Amino acid sequence: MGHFLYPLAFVFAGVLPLVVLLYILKLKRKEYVVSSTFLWRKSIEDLRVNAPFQKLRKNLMLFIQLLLLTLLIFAMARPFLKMRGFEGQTLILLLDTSASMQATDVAPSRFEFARRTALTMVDDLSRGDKMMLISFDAKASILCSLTTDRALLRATLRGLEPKDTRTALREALVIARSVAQAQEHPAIVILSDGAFPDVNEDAGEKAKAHFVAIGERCKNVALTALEARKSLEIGAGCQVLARVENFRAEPAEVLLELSLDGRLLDVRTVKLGPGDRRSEVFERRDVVEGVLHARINVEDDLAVDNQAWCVLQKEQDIRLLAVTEGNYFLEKVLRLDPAVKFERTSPKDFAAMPPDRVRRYDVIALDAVTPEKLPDGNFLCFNCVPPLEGLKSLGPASYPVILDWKRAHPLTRFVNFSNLDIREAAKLVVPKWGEVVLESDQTPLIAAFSKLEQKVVVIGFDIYASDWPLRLSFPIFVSNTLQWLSGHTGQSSARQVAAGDVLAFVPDRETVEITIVNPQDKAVTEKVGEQRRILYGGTDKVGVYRVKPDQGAELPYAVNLLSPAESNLAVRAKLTLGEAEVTVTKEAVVANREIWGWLALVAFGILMVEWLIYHRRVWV
Amino acid sequence: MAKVDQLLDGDFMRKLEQLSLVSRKIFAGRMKGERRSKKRGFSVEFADYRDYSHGDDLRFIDWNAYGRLDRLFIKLFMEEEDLHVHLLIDTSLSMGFGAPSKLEYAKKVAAALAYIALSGLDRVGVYGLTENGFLDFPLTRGKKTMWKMLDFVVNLPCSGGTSLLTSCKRFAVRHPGKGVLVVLSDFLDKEGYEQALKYFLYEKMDVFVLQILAEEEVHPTYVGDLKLVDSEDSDVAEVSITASLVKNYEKNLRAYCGTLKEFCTRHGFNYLFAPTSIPFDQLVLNYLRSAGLFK
Repeated sequence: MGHFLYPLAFVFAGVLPLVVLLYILKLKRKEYVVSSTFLWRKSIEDLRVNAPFQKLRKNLMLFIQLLLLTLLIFAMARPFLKMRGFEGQTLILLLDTSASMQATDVAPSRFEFARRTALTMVDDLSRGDKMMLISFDAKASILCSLTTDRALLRATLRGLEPKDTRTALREALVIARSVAQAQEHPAIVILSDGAFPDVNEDAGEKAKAHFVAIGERCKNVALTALEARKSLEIGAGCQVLARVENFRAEPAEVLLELSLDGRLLDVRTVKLGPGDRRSEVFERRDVVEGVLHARINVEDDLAVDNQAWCVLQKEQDIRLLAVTEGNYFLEKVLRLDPAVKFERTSPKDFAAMPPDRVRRYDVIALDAVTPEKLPDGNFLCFNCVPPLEGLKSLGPASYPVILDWKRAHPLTRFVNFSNLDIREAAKLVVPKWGEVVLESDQTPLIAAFSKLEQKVVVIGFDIYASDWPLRLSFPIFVSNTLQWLSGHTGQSSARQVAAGDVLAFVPDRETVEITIVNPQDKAVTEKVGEQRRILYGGTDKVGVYRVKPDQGAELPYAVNLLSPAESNLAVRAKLTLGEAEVTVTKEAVVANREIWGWLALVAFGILMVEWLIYHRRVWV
Repeated sequence: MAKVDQLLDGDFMRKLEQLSLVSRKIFAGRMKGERRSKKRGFSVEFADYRDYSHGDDLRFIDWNAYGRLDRLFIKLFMEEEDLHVHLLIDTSLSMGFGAPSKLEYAKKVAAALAYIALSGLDRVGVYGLTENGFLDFPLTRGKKTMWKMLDFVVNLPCSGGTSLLTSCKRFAVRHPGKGVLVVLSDFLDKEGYEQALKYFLYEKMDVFVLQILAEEEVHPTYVGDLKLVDSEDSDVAEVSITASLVKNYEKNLRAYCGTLKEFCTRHGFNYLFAPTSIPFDQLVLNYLRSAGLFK
């Protein structure tokens, strides 16, 4: 109902009879005296016989004028058509380029479909409409700022490639919203399969948001985790954990292959019910280092999540120096790991030790010793407050009650502090750059500090004033701490980066430049700057990235998707941005397009025709 | 006399003088003021001899020849007679159109012809055809009447409708005999011209038909939706001028003129199409001469 925005304009239809009236008045012919009418009379009669439409032709001008006026009145009523395309003169297009867009359930792929939809939208742009292109995957990037240049938009869209990364809509939405604020009639269109978590941002008050959901089905089996660690039980070798997840509605049977540096280690058949996930653990004595490659053999819609890599590092000795007057529990626990090369010295000897000798140790454990100045190196401080910037002790606190601990921190892996009782601890003030690992009701108990070259873990209580040495958490925590401090982790996670994330690498002092080779064998060389920290953002594709310092050995890094959210190809049925729910469509949305401009143009053309006929009819 | 001046302006008079010179050339070497007649008879100019036959006038016997040849011969002479030139001008309202008007044009042509004829010592009569008869300037002779005749021509009024039939009939009844007859009209008569012209046929006159049409009649330039009013009978024709209508009108006009010409040719008349766009002196000297009005 109501195909006119301003139907009141039809009042002007009352002018139409006026035109007819004017035309009748106009037809009162001008009198013109001629010598004789008899030849004229004859000519008219001849013509009447020849042209039966003469009468109609006489009224042609009237018809044209009425048509012209009718068109103008229609134009004034501002009619609109329901047409494909989005309302709004400024279109901000958010295009999903994440891994899930590579799914082939929509032929040839979801991304290709999105690209075509976007191209259609470019074609549908009215004259003067502007469009902005933002792609979003793990991060958002502006491909085209607001432009009316359709050729540029098309070229940009054609040059776009999907990535193997997770999806983060939030950033793109924030950009779109801020751009929309300054525009007249903006519309934000999200072209995506919706494989992203809910976003707690809205599209702004001004913009109208549309979500074009792409995708048809969820037929996918994915590797969602791959990790390797030093085997705790068998001493040597490693344990590899691979998790396979079935996102289909029907059972799946897949072959899980594990290979090391191209050599097949194991093949297992994994049976999965609908929606099941299953973790497979491989224990290999013979596997110490190398690049592990896990692959599932399955026919599904998304290929990128069917394989993952994992870098296994050879366990290295940890050279440890314990500075203590003698601490039975401490020595016992530090010697526990066969990889730890334990040395002991007295605080007096340590104070006299030259710095280059101190630097030879991977970890120095201080037991109730507070050096005046902390030399270079990594320190594990028991019952002492080392001279670190901002770290202070405000005296003792008695019977602190454990509140919580940083469960995500590497130091607290497999550690449970809940049954720990402490009689007395130092009241620590931890500066902002430090991280409180264990928190009590009165004071932080354990804090970790990490600077460029120095890592320090401070334990603010005497283990003898607690029952910690008797708890299981003690050896595990110390083992974690030694690995964290020395950097020699048995974990594969250190060399594992999620696709799209930044690959951070701190090279040796001697390294001047490093080369990073991606899985497609494209090399990027970067100079090591003052910060001595290389940040590489080009991890768009999954695979093994090789970091080659000019000095030293090549280091492989595994870049994986491993994201259940991305592998779940189920198409989002609704999208909520902030408070507002966004309408979801399968196709480009049908919108109202005003067509008064066209009507006015046609009216102008008719005016031209009228003019032509009026002048030409003497000759035609 | 203003009208006389208007018609006989300096330009016109100069052209008349030229015509007079030209006409003098035409008549040079002949007996002044007279034209040869086909009739042999009594005249000054000797033409031929023939044998005497019984009853011939004895006064014309060539006695010298009889002395020499002993035979009787009769001397034959060219018969001399006055040539009667009748100039008929249509003065109906329809002749008042055009710039200059067709009537004015006709008057000029008539004046020029009269001048030439008077210079040739012929008898000239001018007649203004009206709806129910004619105004006349009866046959006169001699250049001295020129001014009076011109005055008559100039003062011929433009009035009434065309009724060629009535006026021609009356003229023919009043002027029997031979002579040269020039009819100046647009021949746009709804009653037709055939019957009228046929009256001249019976008089065995040398008839010249001059159809005078104004430029606006030959190539109309009207534009728009018009109500065309007939100047003579106030008949109304509503027309929307279009290119095809104009084309059709011109086609009809050509057909009409063609029919008139054919009629004239069939009856031994000389037809001449005289649009006002042709200067009158050119018409008189070139066209009328080539048509044989004068030698």
